Amino acid sequence: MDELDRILNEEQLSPPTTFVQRVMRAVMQEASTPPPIPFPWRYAFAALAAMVAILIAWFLLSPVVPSGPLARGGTDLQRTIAAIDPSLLAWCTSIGAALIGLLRYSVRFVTD
Amino acid sequence: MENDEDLAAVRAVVAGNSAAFAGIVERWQGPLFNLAYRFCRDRSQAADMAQDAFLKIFRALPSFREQSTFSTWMMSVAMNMFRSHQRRTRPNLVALDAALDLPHWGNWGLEERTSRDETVRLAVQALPEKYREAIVLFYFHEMNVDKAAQTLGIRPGTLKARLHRARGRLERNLRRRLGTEPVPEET
Repeated sequence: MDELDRILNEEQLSPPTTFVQRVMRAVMQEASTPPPIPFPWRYAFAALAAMVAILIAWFLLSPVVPSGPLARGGTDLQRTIAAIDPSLLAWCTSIGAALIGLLRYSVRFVTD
Repeated sequence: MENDEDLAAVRAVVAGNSAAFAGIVERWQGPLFNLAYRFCRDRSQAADMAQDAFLKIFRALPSFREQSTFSTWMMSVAMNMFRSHQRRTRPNLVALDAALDLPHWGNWGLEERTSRDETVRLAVQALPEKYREAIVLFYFHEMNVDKAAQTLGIRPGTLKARLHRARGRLERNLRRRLGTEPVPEET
């Protein structure tokens, strides 16, 4: 064994005498703390799906009168798209983005 | 036998008997405290680090799958904790140029020897992380390559290579600064 081995093979130190009590106090405190509430993924996805379904139904069923050149010609899809109010689309996009943002932010505070 | 006692304690804790964790703390307080000390070289900080490691182990117990021995698993959890702790806090890097204002290896009195030994141990702290961990774990496990490699989660051959390079760096730094014969640069 060379000099470096001798130096690095240090003798064992003893932990403080109250170490076990100290650790166990922290452990018992940890054990008595209620576990974090898991994120309700099932409800979140159900709500998201319901919201998307409502939006789709609204677009398809709302009695919007198409205007402009496409109102008289083009396919059904083209007429539907032309009928969508741009401000409504902007609102829906904003709400969707905000929802996704809030979901991602809230996930930081919960465990699976 | 030790592992049986640990496994019994683990199962009891997972079943809801948190007090059973005391057996694990009693059996492993020495090794974890010493391992923590080798990373920070401060008794008070080592006690805090070891306590945090035990808490992390306690929280992680339900994920222990008994595929490895409890001690190996526990040491890996503690190592990860010590590693992230050391990355978070500024490591106690020794400024070798300033610290090694000491005489030659051969002419040391007891006080100087003690000081030199501590300087060498502090010099280990100045090594890059992978070399420092290799050295710390190797000597912590009483020079058992397999155990040290298991704790680090690397192959024994990789550990041997890291040890070789770590010792080379360490000796070169120390000899250059302590004024003994020069060691050729590693290529």
